[in-house]
Amino acid sequence: MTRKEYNDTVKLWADDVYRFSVHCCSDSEMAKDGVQEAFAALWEQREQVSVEKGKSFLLAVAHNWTISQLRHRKVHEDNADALKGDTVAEPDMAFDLRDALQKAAARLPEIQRSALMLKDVEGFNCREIGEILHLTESQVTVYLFRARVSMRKTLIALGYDNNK
Amino acid sequence: MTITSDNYEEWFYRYAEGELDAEQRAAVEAFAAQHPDLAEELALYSPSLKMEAEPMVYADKESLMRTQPRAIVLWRWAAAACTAGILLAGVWQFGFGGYEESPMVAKVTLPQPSMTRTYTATHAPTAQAEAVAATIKRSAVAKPTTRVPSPTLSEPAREDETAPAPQPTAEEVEPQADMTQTEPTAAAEPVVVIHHEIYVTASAEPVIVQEESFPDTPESGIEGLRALGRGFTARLRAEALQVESKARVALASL
Repeated sequence: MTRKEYNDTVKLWADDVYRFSVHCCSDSEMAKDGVQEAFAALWEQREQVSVEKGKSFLLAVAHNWTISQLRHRKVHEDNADALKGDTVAEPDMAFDLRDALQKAAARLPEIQRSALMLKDVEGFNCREIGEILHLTESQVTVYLFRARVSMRKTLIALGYDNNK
Repeated sequence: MTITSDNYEEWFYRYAEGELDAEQRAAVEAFAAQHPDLAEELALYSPSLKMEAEPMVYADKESLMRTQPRAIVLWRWAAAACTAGILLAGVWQFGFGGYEESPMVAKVTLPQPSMTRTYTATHAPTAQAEAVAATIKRSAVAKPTTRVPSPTLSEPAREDETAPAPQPTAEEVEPQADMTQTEPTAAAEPVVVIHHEIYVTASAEPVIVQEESFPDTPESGIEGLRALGRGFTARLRAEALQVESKARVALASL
């Protein structure tokens, strides 16, 4: 990866890495640090990382870093309110359902939330998710299954069951 | 692969996501029928229940960019530091020592690593450098017989200090230190030579010696330095003050 390709990667994926980091740790400030760590690592290893693998490399570093920080600080509180300052409202989606989805996702174990984020938002398949999270493909499918079942239960409890 | 209570979640996932063939789907349905408690999970699984992509902006992308090669930064700093040394030496000569009464050489040491990439001037042993200083002092007190029309601050340093220098004449004056000229002649043109020795921190020997020669006349060389000084920034002035203290010590030994 050349300097120009690295800078193009910054422009292309910095927002996505930041969003993923926010979902990993529910802490916008920690997520910003995670983004910086990820791009610093990419710059250091730019000669070994191809442009095609740039995004998954960044997400993997950001995930590992934020999770290690979380484990270190033992932060588990629902910090969904902190997300509001960094998000852009989408008027075409009901706020209440969005809020319910955020709450349901925030209650997931970290690894399930990360897998679900990579699947639904970033569009990776199970094999790619496994590479990023250092899991087997079977483990990824199990986490995804548990995550969706858990979110459904939470939505039902909150009164926002989408009835499939 | 057989569906068991240990691996049913993967089977349920692939079933719900439509990744199984007809035979496998039938196996999953049979398993679910035999395990109604686990079948409840399959009933709760909703493929359409997806996390929403929330637009987020990482505002400080510029801080992540790598647009300034480090070598260029070092080169610019090195160039600035060298300029500071040249100017400070000129300022010292003119501002502190006074014209004609002061030594004509400022020996400035800049303990800055990584400058070897910036300059190509040859190195000179300390003894040679002192000889240069002595020669210049003698030549500087000689009375000029001709005027030099323009300053030559940009004249490159001589890389081979042992080579014979051209003999100056009244019409054509070479504003350069002359190592072979031990006794100045009456026709010799006074010159001021700024002699730089730049050290790498870990080295006791100067790795770079650079000399700037120019006619020793207020209208040309010194004025040229003063003109340069008017363009100095505050940062360079601060650096120059540091260089000055080193220059004072160095000058005391000349």
